[in-house]
Amino acid sequence: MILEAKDLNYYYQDGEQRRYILKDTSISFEKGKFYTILGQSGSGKTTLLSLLSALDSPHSGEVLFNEENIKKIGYEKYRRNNVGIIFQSYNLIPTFTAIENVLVPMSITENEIPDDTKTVAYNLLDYIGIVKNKADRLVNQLSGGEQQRVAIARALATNVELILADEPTGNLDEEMEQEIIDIFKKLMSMGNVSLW
Amino acid sequence: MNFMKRAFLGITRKKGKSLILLAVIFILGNLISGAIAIQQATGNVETTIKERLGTAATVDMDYKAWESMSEEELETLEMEELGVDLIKQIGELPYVKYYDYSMTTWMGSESIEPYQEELEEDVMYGDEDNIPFSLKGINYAPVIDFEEGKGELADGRVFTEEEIKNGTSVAIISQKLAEQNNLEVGDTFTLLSAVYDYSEETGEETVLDSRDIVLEVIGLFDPQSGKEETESKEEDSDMFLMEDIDYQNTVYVPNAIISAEEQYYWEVYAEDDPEIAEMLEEESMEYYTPIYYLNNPEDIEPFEEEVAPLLPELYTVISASDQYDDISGPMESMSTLSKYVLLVAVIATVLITGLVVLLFLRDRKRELGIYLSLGEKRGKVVGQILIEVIVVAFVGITLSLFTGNLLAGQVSDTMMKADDTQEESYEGVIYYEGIETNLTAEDVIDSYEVSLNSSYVLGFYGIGLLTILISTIIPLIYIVRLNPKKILM
Repeated sequence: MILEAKDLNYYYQDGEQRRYILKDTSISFEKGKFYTILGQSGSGKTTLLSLLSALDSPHSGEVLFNEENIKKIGYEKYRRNNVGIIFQSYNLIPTFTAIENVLVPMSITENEIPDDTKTVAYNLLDYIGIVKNKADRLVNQLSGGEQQRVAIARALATNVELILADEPTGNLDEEMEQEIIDIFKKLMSMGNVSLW
Repeated sequence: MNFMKRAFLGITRKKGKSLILLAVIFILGNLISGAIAIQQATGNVETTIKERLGTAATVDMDYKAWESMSEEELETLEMEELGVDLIKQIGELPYVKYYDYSMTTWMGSESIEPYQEELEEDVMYGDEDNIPFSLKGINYAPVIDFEEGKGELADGRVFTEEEIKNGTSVAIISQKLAEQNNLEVGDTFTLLSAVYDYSEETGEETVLDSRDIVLEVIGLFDPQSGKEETESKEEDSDMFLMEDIDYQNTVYVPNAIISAEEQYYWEVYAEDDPEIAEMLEEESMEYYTPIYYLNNPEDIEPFEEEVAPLLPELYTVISASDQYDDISGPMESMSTLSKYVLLVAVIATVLITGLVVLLFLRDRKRELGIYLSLGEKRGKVVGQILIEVIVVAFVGITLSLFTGNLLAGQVSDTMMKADDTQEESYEGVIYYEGIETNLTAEDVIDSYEVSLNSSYVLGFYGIGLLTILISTIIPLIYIVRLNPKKILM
């Protein structure tokens, strides 16, 4: 198992009462597989993802990455070296260009990446469908689909084993949605993704 | 794309916000810069003036305290004399470079003529009694006047400790006095030590007794300070010429010689006056005013503090810097005002810059959350913001360094002119040899100069950047508390 959640509990304290979002939730994921979590709105999908990506911590229970508790790895370090996160609302830095957004995590990670990070970033964007011309534009000058592609490239840029995406097509039209899903399928088919 | 590069991109890509921050820091920086410039300038005035005034100090009666005493207090007051032992004890303090305590007397002569120089009409040298020679007693063998540059030994030698101790009949006279009377080192000359009686009824003086004093010339001196002044100050040339002539006719002798002559005067008086005879039996009639030269002007304050408890009642330490303290009012008020301005400006900068940075950070909350979601260390995110603020602050501070300095110059000029109308009073000013007493408020104001020196530049950058750092601390706490999930999901 690459990722495993054991007895996760997450709740909001509402006065005397606890409103559970996740209660004794356990789940595991194998390496090289593509998982989709479905559920009604408010069922705790985003909360689960935030716990799996170490953006938040559970009230009890543990998340294991390659059988090691992510708390022990360190949440920051885990996000830096082990997981790539894609958000519904892209979360790109608006004052940076597409290439600069991809370069940011490459300067943060401690994973081994080629020295010529700029070329790698251009290649990555090109593979995802962002040509050089667009890669040099500020991200707010790109369409929603293009911005999500940049977000995917950013998640891939640090050579992580795990990509977690929170409704990555939620803000896109149907045509774009399909294109993004196709990208994910293509990446999955490559197994241990390495685009350099 | 490390955090430093991100910081520089943050500055250049958000030009509007960077300019707003720059403007805020520039405006507040001007206040800080101006206040520091005034502080430095007033501080420099004190140092410059005190250096000019020198390191001389003496111990004398505190006339101000004496005047403020009631009649009853004065009646019961028993004044103690300043003993030689105490003078020596003070002289042994580590602040003292050298000191002397001596007496001065005036004598005439039938064997030598006083030095004269042509003065303008109506200005005469010497008095009717023909006692033109001032004898200055010396206890400090190398002669303080020579050490302090008032005069310079041109020929011969200074006194030996033996001569001082034994009161040997030797003298150092001015080169011009020697030339006028064809005297050389090794020659002798005779002075007339006379005891006068003054009649209040007739207003005439009669010689009660007199005796000759034969002195051997062991050295010749050349006045130094008077020479410069007569050359430089044409307006007051007559006054300085008189001072110069006085000095040319000064005869340095071991103090014991003068002490012996004083004793002789009192003994002559005592022959006619039993009250004086009684006094002579009870106490010594030697009164000394010591002069202490300290190692440097900064020593004056600790010296005064250390000497004060040793002194008898109603005595005080008098130094040249006392006069500065008396007339430094405008400078002190400006220094105080600049202190308050500096304090207010620093507090305003901390609050305003802190608020501006906090508002900008709230605006960039999402960006900061992205860095944290990518696993960036909070320390580096804090570092990025610090670099952004400090770079902008550095530019703002550098600009205000010059403008604030100019502003300070203009403001202080105006304030000085406003204070310059104050009247100066020399009433009650007592002259002490070696201690300058003619310092004016104008001298103080003339010494005031707002300049762009290294201590000002370093001081301003230090205070400015520290203030900005402090003002950024509160917004940085905001970053430390950021939760990326709440921002991004």
